[in-house]
Amino acid sequence: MRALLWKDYRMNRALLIVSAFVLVSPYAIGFAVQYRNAQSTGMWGGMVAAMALAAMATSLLTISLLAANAFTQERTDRSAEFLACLPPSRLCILLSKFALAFSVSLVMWVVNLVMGLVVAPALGDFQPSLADPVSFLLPTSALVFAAGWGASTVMTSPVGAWGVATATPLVLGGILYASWYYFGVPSEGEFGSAYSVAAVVVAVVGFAVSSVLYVRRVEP
Amino acid sequence: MNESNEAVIEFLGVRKRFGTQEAVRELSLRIPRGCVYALLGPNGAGKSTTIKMAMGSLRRDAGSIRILGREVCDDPSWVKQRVGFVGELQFIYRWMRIAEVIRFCSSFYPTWNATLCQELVRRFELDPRKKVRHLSKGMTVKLGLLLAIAHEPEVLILDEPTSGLDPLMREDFVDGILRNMCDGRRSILFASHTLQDVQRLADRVGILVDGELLVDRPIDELLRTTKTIRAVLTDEKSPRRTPHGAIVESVDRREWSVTVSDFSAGQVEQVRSQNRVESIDAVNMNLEEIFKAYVRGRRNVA
Repeated sequence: MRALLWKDYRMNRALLIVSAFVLVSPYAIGFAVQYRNAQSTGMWGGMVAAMALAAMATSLLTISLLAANAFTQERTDRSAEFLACLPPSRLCILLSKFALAFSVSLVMWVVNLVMGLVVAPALGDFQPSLADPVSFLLPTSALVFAAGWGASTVMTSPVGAWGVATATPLVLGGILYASWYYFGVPSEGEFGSAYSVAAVVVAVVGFAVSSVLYVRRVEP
Repeated sequence: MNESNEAVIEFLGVRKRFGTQEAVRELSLRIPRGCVYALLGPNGAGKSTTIKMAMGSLRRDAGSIRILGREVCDDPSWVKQRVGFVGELQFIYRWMRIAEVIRFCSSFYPTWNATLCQELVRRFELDPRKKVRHLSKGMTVKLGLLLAIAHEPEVLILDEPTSGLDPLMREDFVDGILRNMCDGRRSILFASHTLQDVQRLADRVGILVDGELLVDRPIDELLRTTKTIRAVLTDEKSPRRTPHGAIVESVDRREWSVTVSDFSAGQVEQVRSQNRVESIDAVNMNLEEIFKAYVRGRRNVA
């Protein structure tokens, strides 16, 4: 398992660097832009909260890339065929990939939540409420992860899998919008919560089904 | 060869279809311990498909494949720990260095022999610091062979193992390495187009054409009993009766040649008595000629 983890880490090293950059850059830009203003107005808390929100939004990109790349990368260069002839079970291969993609996604979310919900209030000045955006971004994040992961288990192209990952929230939103438009369900006031619940359900089911199918599949 | 009766690799009624095309039809064969089995066939005959199914990386439509007594699909990890495999093409991680590939693969095999691995690195002149992407085709094949052999597998499955090797390295591989592996305990299944290698190594030969196993015999027996009967006819009329066991025949004006399996002197007499012939003789064949005869015979029928 350690060897598989090492291999997956090495294969995704460039993406991990991009993830770190995407995680840090909104805060760095925020600090740079706000530095002079903050000295006069003292709005550090507001800036950190806003940048945490921006970082959560941009993390969707890297989370979808990590998930979409999980299996497709090896299928593209056909090293999956080499791996398939080695003893590790499909489950071990899957767990190793999941450990990497999920842990990086988790770290990004934990850092951003800590910055937005702990650090920003501690700085004690005006700041926007993060509850609503987080309740939208977190399920969306789970959805793009699961969609990218699911597409990656069956597709060969990382670009295709990433396309599926990014399109899925739009499709889900479109379906809910059509349902509201034609049937009035969900009601306008419940649209946000309906989207969040649907996104989480689709993510969990999609992730579970695609993982089981991958483990049961014979072909690399 | 030191064959025991125990079947190390066993195919039973295996079938595989790609769309409407039947790639493997009702394949049944049994490779005993210590046997070196060569699977021959023209391109597209189903050799690689058969080998992929044996390695558990391709789903079969019907039948059963057992390696060392275990169904491949039931316990693929257990089987893969005991099988060394070299594919037709090498898809080793191109970004890894040779040392990294070796470290990566060795972690999956409890039986990995580091001393043997070092010896093979020296013998194959592999530079551990080199990245796989910088290796030539031949060097990549050598690395694949090293990875297949260094864990001292009980079974070796090789799909065109010597393609991409220069003649010297091929000879070294066949005579030096594979021969050493044939110690009576290991079984080897290999697909090859290089019939010289097959003739030097194999105990048993299978000829697969259009997914069907036409021959499955010990190589000595195949060479001894497959002959071409050549007859000169008294006129240019087609011969009346072909002998029993005919694989392929051709008539060129008055010269009639027919290749037969299980040759016996009686077949010559049968040809002489049933056809008007001026002269007749039986000619020995080498493996390449036998292989071509089976393929042509099958294609003519088709």
